[in-house]
Formats: sequence, C-alpha cells, structure tokens
Amino acid sequence: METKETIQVNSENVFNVEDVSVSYGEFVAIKNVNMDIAKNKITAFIGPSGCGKSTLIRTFNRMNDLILGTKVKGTINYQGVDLYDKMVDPVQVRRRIGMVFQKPNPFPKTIKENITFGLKVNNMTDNMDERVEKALTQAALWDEVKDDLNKNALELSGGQQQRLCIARTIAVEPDTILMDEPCSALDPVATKKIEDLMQELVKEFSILIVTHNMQQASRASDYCAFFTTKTSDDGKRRTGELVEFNETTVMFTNPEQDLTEQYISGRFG
Amino acid sequence: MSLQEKIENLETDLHVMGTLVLEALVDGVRALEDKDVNRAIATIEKDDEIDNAYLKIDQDWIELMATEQLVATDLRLSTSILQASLHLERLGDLAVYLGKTTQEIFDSPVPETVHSTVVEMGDLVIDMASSAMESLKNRDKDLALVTAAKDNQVNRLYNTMLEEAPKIAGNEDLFKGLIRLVTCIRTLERGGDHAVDICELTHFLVSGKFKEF
Repeated sequence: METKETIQVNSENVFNVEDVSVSYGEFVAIKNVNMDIAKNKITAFIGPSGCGKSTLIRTFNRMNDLILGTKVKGTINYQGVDLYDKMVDPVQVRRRIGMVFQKPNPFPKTIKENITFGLKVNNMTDNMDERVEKALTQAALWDEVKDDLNKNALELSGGQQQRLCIARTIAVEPDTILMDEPCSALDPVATKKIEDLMQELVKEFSILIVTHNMQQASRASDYCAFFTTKTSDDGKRRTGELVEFNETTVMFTNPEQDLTEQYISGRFG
Repeated sequence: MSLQEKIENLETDLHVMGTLVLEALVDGVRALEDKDVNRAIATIEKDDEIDNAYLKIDQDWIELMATEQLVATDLRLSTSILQASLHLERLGDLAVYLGKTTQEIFDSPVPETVHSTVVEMGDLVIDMASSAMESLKNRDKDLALVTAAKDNQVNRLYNTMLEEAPKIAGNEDLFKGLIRLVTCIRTLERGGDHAVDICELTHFLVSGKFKEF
C-alpha cells in the first residue's frame, strides 16, 4: 500500500468483500457480507437504521480501527490488496480511500487551510496553490470561494461546507470516496448540487454512499445494496445482513427479493 | 388516501373502463351484423363515457406520479394501468368505427363473405380484449400468452379478405359496401393488436420483463 505503483489494479472492481462480519465486543453488527464493488461507479447502501450499513462502509477505509473492541472477520480486498493485512498502513489506506461524513465537519480554519492540511500530512506540499484550486474546482466550489480563500470555513453555508469536505477529501488524490449520508443535513438545493457533483466525480473516483434517502439511491447510484436487520431466535440480538445487491434500475423496478420490495415500497422499516 | 388505496382505485377505474369498452364493442359488432342503426348510434354515443374514463385515469396517474415515489410492483402496475387505458381508449374508437360503418351501409347491399368475416373478426377481438383484461386483473401470464396467440386468427382473416376483396371489386352494386367493410377489417386487425399489447402488459407486470408476443 506504500505507493500507487505497487498496487495490482483490478480494472473491474475496487473492493472484493468476502464473508465479512463486523462486531463490537460481543455484539455482531453485520455478518457474512459478500460483494464486489465496481470501479468508477456509484454504489449505494440502503436499509433501515441499525442494519450495519454505516458499520460496513467504515471497514472499507479502516475507520472502525479507531473504535475500541471492533473486530472485522473475513476479507476486504482493495484493488487486490488485503486491507487488513498487517503490512498495510491505515493512514495510507485513508489517503487512498477518503471519507465524507453525515454532518459537514470542516476544520475551524480558513477555506484554504482546510485543503492544505491533508496535503501537508501526506507530504504533498509541491504546487499547493494549484492543488487547492484543482480540489475546489472538482468539488464545484471554486467559483463561489476563490476570492475568499482566507475566510473561515465555518462561515460557509452547510452545502458549501459539505462540498469543502469533499474538496478536502479529493485533494489528497484518493481513488475511492466513501460517503456516509452526505446530504442528510442539507436542503434539497444543496443536496442536488452534491448529487450532480457525484456524477462528475465518479468519472475519476469510485464512490460508495450510505443513504437513508431511497430516492437519492435511485437517482444517484449505479448499483444498490439493501441491508436489513435480522433478530436472533431468542429475540435478544439484532444483526445486519445483506439482502440484495443489484443494479439500481433493477432494484427499483423489479427487485429479486420480497424484503427489498417491501422496504423500497415503504411497507416496512 | 394511502398509496395502496390510490393504486387500487386507479386499477378499479381501469376495469370499469374495460367493461364499458367491451359493451361498446359488443354493441358495435352486433349493430354491424344486424345492420341495426339504433344500436350503432348507441355505440357511438357511449364513446364520451369511455373518453371521460380514460381522461380520469390519465389525470389520476399524473397526480400519483407527482405525489408519490413509486417503485417495484407499484411502479409497474401504475404504468401498466396507464398504458392499458390508452389501448382500451383505442378499442373504444374501434367500436365507434363499427357504428359509423353500420350507419353508412345499413341500406346498401354488401358482399356476404366480407360482411360475415368482419363479424367473425369482431367477435374474435371482443374475446381477446375480454381475456386480455382478465389476464391483467388476475396477473395471469399464461392467459395473456394464450390470448395473444389468438391474434393469428385475426391476422389470417385479415389476409384472406385482402385476397378476396379484389374479386368483388368489379361489382358496382357491392362496391360501396365493400370499401366500407375493408376499412373496417383493417381497423379490427389493429384492435387485435391492442388486445395483444394489453397481454404484454400483463407479462410485464408479473415478470418485470418486456416481451413481445
């Protein structure tokens, strides 16, 4: 994982997820997930609260390492490399696989510093101004902030802050972007801007998005995974499972599983 | 009203419209068979009711699309209802055409073979339209397939008449009646196609896949 050149690139899929279960101590949050995530596509994770979709996406860039007691079983291969191999540096993983969170969380610094911070951490300090402009342009924010780069990022609107967080993520040149409900704190106009932006970004990046908004999944994604929660026989434990993984158009016109049909039609969950 | 109720109402409206259209078709075919002008007028007048039923489905469908995010079976069902209503509306127009033809030929001599073939085709189209609507109502893919296959008989009669017509064309007394009936035959052939299209909607609704019958 040291440099891009050493990675054996699988041209079809970025992630190969094999029999993955994630638990926090005794509690199994999600189990036995098998799926391949396509490169340069948008894949959406949907499902009711507690189905483990956020837990799963966090394993894709080892964010769960930061939560004590988290165990990941199974294999997650990223472009042919086992993400949980001992030799793999989680900091490098998170540079290659960026993440955007539910609430816009810019640093309480200037717009420019929000971008340069990650560049400095990753020793990408050459051509800083160009990198800042490129990231903000890719995040469709440059025209709005180019004259205010030294303004405090917290003065931006919520939608602008979220696009700044996307700019911050792509500045360090990842190849995959994970988004955990990136629009749930935004109004419909700001949401549309992020969705339009995703359609641009996917030409260069692979995108995974967790969303509670079914219409967003149907509008914005190419593939869709539906997770749900199964309760154990004694009724004490609830564990997330992958129910259906399909092309989004198939999922929303002719789903294979009855459970999927019920959920997307709003009949449960 | 819940989404379920809205869709159920839309489907009920479609089948009420279907009944109106079938009644009109029966009236149209019988009027032509018996050269019954009064029944022909009744057939023509029924079309306003059919058109109103169509417009209501159209309007309700637009409102449903504007207010609900339909997916999966709900989406396929509502789309099938809208499309089926258009085919029914066209079948209603066919009934009107049979009525108008009756008005034009009731006091003229007509070639018997062509006349009886028009009636035979008319009865086939009534049977197909009725079964097609039943297949849609009962989500019966097999009935849809069997019904669509009956269109071969309609097409066979159509082709037979195309060969038959020129033989009679020289007879001046029968010419006017012949022309009217031949255009009727063409319209009935299209009527069979509309019934087949409704059968295809049944298949789509049940399986989620488009299939040309």
